[in-house]
Amino acid sequence: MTDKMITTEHLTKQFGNLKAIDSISIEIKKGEIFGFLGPNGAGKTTTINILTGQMKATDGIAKILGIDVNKHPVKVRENIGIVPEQENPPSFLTPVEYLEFISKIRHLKENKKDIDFWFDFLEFNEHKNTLCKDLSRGTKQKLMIAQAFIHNPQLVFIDEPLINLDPMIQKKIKTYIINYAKKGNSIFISTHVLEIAQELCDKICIINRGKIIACDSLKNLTKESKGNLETAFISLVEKNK
Amino acid sequence: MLTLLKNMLKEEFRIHTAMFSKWLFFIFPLIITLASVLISISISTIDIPTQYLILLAHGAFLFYGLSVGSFGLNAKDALKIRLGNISFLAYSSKILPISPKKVFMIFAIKDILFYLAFTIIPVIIGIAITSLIINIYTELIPILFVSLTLSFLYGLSLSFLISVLYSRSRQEFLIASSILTLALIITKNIWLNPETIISYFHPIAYFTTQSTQTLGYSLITPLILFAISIFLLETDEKNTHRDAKDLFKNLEKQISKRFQKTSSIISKDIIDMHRSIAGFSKIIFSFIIPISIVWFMLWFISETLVPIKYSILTFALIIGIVSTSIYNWLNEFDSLENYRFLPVSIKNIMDAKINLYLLISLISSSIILLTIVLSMNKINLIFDAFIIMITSSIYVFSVLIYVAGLTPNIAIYDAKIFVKYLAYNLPVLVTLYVITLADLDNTTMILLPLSLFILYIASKNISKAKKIWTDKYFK
Ligand SMILES: Nc1ncnc2c1ncn2[C@@H]1O[C@H](COP(=O)(O)OP(=O)(O)OP(=O)(O)O)[C@@H](O)[C@H]1O
Ligand SMILES: [Mg+2]
Repeated sequence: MTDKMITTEHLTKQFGNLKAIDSISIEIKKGEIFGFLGPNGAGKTTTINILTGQMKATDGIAKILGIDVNKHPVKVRENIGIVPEQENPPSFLTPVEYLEFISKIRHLKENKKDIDFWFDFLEFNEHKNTLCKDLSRGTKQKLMIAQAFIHNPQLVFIDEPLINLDPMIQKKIKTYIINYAKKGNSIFISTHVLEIAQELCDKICIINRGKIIACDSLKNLTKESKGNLETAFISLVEKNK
Repeated sequence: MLTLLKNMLKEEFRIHTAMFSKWLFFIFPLIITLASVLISISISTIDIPTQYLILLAHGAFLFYGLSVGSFGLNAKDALKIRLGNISFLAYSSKILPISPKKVFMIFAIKDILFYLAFTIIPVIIGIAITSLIINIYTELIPILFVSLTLSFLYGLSLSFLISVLYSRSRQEFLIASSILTLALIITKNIWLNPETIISYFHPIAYFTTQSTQTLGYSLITPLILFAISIFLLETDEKNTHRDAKDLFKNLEKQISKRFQKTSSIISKDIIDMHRSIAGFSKIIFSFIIPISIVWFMLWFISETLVPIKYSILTFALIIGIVSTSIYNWLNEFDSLENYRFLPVSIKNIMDAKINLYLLISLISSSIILLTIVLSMNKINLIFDAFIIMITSSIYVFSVLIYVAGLTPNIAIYDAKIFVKYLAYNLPVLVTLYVITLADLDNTTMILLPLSLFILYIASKNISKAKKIWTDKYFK
């Protein structure tokens, strides 16, 4: 296995006459926390959908863990975790049942301990038997995070991970992600919360109107703005209007 | 209110044209009209008493209304649940300054308009064209138009009311329906004769008498039923914080021996249905109640009006065909969005739905068929009846999944798909129908090999379906 978790070449997605993403070439290495930033409608979710085999690219190649995702989308999804942009666990299952369901789908052996770990860790034990349709939005998000990590995948995609979570839980998850990457796993995060990107990411790409306008280590990217990611982000996007 | 209705109609239209062609969507009513002409012309060549034909036509529209009218079951769900990434106006309008009851009423009206435009009116136009072609009863066409539509609305509003009562409280529903049944049985000498029924079932009464008064009654009755339903409808959840004990683990373990690869999805679906009001009760409303009513009508007509020939085998065929509506709602409440980010392929999901369909439809239709066979004392035909029911159910289902994939409710309104659906089904169903009427000495000898052949084609359809549809979703 190479140390490249994700490589794409000229990845393009066309919706009718809209080029949602335009010839994107990126690379993410083992152990890296990769931040994917950009304004609303820039093409972040579309990119994640293609990289995770939820959507087919119009053009270009994407290899995830060495597997061509266009040809083997299910195989790719077997080996990664995904926290989708919209948290919608099945309405009439409870969180416990949902995690059992996910474990079965992923062919995990008896893993009650892992399931219990997530209820304890994200502090939603009291809701583990509540029907998902009656959960608060943040609790649903916790469940989707647990679902993405339950099989300890080498690569996890997170689309806006922490937006509805309280500060204590956010802190816990950030620490978890950093340690998770230290074990040699990679994380692909798309977010609008620049502090999260600044705290977590080793490498950051900024996408605007489907095109990558900057892609570098956090340090290089914020050199001119004296370490301030927000200033760097805004000036880059303004420049590429 | 009109704005909301207009936008909901627009939304419905966009849902239907998002995946399939716009043009073919509008052709759909024309196809229905054409089919209706063909069917009514062929019926007109058979020598059937007119009185019976009229009853049958009104009965069919009533039946259709009954089977599509159980909106009451969905009320809470339609307003509360978004289907994955798709959210409907009915859901988002909760934040608008309109009461949820009104929103739901408009939602139901939208559905009714949709049914009228896409099925009821085209069918009646077809009947009208036929009567012009063969030049009989042409003067009755306008009246037939009204009376058949009203018949449909009777069925629909009645089903709406029953389903609202049911979703309010299953206990109340059981008590009310037992009292009603008992009352009907006790008073049967009074009402159980053709004259009474015809004069009190206003749409038919209007057709025969053409009196303005009956027309008034038949307009008002569905309106009243509809209004009562809306009044009794509960849109708020009684207990919004529902805890439930873990059913998944054991259920999955139990069925994993039988359904190895699909046990997790099947278990999820079964729990889904069990816990949502719209779940298993949909079987009752879209399948069991209509079938029972048809059975009653056939029995009633043959006992009291004209001794028509209908056999238990024909009935088995009808059950088999109608049972495929179960596949529609299996897909209605489970969204593909649940699986997008999981290592599950379309083929896996289809396999799960196929198993689940076979499980639920065969069990529920067997119960109905068995009840009818036993109550009519036709044990000698039980074997043939089951073969016909199972064969037709599986075959029609295989065609449905082949032409419409995992989105039958939407796809079937695409004219091309619908024509395919008819074209694949008709030869097989007509053959089976002929056999059910033929009164052969050795039905089984013919039926058995024929069924095996049909089931073989069905299995081909199903494997083709899995290939075709894999590429159509997740584009
Ligand atoms: N299924 C689709 N069909 C048509 N257009 C789409 C589809 N999905 C996304 N788009 C369009 O593609 C563009 C990129 O959308 P995308 O969801 O990737 O943006 P995003 O960067 O994730 O935005 P946000 O920050 O708001 O989540 C938008 O213009 C959007 O309207
Ligand atoms: Mg997005």
